[in-house]
Amino acid sequence: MSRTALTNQIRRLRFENGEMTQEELAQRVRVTRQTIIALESSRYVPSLLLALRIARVFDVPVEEVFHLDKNA
Amino acid sequence: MERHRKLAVFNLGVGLRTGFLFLCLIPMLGPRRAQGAFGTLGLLAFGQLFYRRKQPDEVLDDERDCEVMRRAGKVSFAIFWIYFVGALTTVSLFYGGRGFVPVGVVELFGWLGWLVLLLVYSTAILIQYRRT
Repeated sequence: MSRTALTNQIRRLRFENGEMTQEELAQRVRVTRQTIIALESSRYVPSLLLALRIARVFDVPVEEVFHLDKNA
Repeated sequence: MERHRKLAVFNLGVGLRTGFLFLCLIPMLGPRRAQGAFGTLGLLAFGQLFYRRKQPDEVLDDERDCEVMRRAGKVSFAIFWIYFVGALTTVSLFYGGRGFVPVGVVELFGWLGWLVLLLVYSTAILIQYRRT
């Protein structure tokens, strides 16, 4: 299971937003819970659309959710 | 576990059992009649049960699943193409350019092609999910 160069703060943001569950986030952005798990462990790079949807759920800019590794 | 992953495990199981059954039946029935083993591929229809919604608004698949399926499709098509060319070449070499190919051989290549496609597609899906 290789990690991607894109890291994210989804787990932290979930807990800061009323301890939102992975299932709840998945339902709100219309993906499966497994995709949220893959995203949180940086094993999957989302589409721009999904990244924007996630940022909108947390009401933050997309740059606050996703970060590109310096070495990438 | 993702629905497509469950379905791939199910399909892989059915495919492997079918291939095994076919090989076991050859000594007893001969290659032509042993092809009856491929009838067990009909079990694949039960794979649709994995797509039952538990809740009305449940998401069955998403962009990640589509990406996995797309890649698996490309790999299985490539492997099937190799099989297809190999099968045609074998038939041509064995029976000659002007020879007659028995119906049983054509049927066998058809069934084996379907089996190759099924096994490669299912395996590719499982590998993709393991990577992501």
